[in-house]
Amino acid sequence: MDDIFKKIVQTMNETVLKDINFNEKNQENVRQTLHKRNKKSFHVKRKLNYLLPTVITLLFFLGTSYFIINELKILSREEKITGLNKNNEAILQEPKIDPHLSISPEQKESYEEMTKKDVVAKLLNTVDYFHTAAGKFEEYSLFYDDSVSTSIIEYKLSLKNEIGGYEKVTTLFDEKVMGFKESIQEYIYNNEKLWSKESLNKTYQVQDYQSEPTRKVVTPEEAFNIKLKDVYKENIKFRERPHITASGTSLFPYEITSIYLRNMEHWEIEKQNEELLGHNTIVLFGKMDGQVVERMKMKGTTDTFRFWVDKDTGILMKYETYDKDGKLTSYLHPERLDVNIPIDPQTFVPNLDGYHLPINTRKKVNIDPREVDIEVVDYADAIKEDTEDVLDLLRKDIPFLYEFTHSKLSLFSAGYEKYKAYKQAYLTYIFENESQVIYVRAYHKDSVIRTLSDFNREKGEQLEKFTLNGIEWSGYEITDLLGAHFIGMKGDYKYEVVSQDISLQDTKELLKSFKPSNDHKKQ
Amino acid sequence: MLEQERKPVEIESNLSREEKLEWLMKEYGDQVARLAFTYLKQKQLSEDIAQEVFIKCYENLDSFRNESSYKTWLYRITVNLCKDKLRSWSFRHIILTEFFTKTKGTNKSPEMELVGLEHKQLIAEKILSLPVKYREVIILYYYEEMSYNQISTLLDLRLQTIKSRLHRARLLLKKSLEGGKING
Repeated sequence: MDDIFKKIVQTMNETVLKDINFNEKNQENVRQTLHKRNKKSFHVKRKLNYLLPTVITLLFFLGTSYFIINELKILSREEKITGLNKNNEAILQEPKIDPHLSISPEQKESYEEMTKKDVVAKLLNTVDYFHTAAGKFEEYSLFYDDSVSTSIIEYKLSLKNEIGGYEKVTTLFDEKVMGFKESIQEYIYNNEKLWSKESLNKTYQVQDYQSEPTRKVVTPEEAFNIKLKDVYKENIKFRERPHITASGTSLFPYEITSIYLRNMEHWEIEKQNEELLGHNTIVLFGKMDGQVVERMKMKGTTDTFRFWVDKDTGILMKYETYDKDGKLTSYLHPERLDVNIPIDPQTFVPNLDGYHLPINTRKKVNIDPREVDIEVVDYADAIKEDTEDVLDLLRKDIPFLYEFTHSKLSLFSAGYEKYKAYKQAYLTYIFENESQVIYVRAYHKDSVIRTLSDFNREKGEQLEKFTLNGIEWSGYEITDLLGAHFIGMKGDYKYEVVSQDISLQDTKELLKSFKPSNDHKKQ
Repeated sequence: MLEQERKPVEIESNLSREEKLEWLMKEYGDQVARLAFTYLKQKQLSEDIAQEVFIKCYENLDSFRNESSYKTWLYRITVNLCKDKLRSWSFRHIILTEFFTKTKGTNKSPEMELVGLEHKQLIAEKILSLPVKYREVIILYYYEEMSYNQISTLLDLRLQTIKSRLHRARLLLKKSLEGGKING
């Protein structure tokens, strides 16, 4: 849950704020309005006759000419979009999908010499260089906390004529880290709808598909000027691409190009031509930029990298990253890639047999009316300094406070609440990999506490009672999620520890490091 | 979110008013429009408000005394204009028809975990469904990455009020997401 807050920028920018911007037209409106107002005041205040700055006039002419140019640009772009829309309308009026296969121009391998800039420019604009693509690859990633993930991605998509795509992502997880072994997700879209199917619970979701307007070619300079912290949130700065997720790493490698190749001094063309699965690729080899390693948490996992780029399309067919000893740490290894082959439009229609829409399992929780008297004394999360300030306050005011001291857990949030004279502490810890969370609260047994979903999940199997660090614990499995709920007593004080994505036994193991705060040496 | 860079952007003081305006529109235009959208939830209205913000900004450039950053100043104008709009008769009597149907895929990379699009869409919509006083603190703190003090200055509210509203906002958001799959 807390992870939501850390990812709000990305979440908002990729969804509801995706199309909200202040474009040239808006800027021109501002200029025009100000110009008109200045003109008015020119007539009203004769005094300003000589003071009216020539720059305003100049600005007006510049602005006007710019406006005209801009309008023309907009017109030509709108024509493009209208053209697209016309195409869509025709399809919308004819909902039955034409069984004829769309024919794409035959793809010809390129053997021309390329400069570094040429390669980057192609990688950033692959959407212009192919009509259809189908393929399969394996992607293996080693993260900074030594967790790994392996995904097998199969895809087929069409960017022109019949717009649509199909993608199957089989993700094999490290069970210790993620709590489950495998998940299969399928994404199917056409010019009307986008479906996502989830194998674990046999559910599917459907939403309207909205194609993106064509955006101008992105230059290497533009892509490299995007701050590292913004690469994943300023998607608007990259070229358009369809609604696909995992295969985009290879087919539309905009972000990875911006991140890995931004320091042109650090990488070289290793081979102009190398055959790979019937495609002619250019091979790049380079050393990671220090800033990138720092920002992207690649320390220890990524020191050098190698890219294989399909010369005619710019598709990133294969990549490998290596650590300081040259050991392979992450990779994308292709099994096949077919470009501009005919694709049956039926591929873009999902088979939903056996799948259902998610059922809302929300339960009605009875809220204690006395909860209105609970007040928040202080609260902070996400920002380390703020959170530690609240923790210091808790340590000072709450003598019965316990904290986790496990080296892999870091504090994400701290809350201090009160019910009348009773003080209550809330702490949330996250693991290094940020997928597992532990919620803690401590309070007097007679105190009224807030009803929160994290502490009110249905309990399953119960462990034998046990005592650790002075607290007598009862432990329960959580029924609908991977996690555990431990309730402990020490004198008049009650402690609750709820884990998310951590098994009952692993949570019990972690409780060994749950110790009184006064044992801590204050930093 | 954890890796914040809160360095204010510098603007050259020797620029003319027009040049300053151009610079500010280029630098903060998108951010202002997006902030406006989080209040009004309508694209066209947000753009109109953003335009109005820069017109006001230009007219008052001479009175800007560098007591706060340009960004904070622009945000203050934006928030005030949006709140005026929210209170206005015309706004309260139009039916909000814009619904968020657009989503966008993200690329998974070795340094980025894949998160379901539909899940992001759900969270974003829930955030925008919060009452304004809670929505704005969530947006300013987490999305705009402003500090408690900056938000307190911007909204002219006590620090403690900001903290408790933020806490309440988080609780409301959690509650509204109950039953939805949270995969962090």
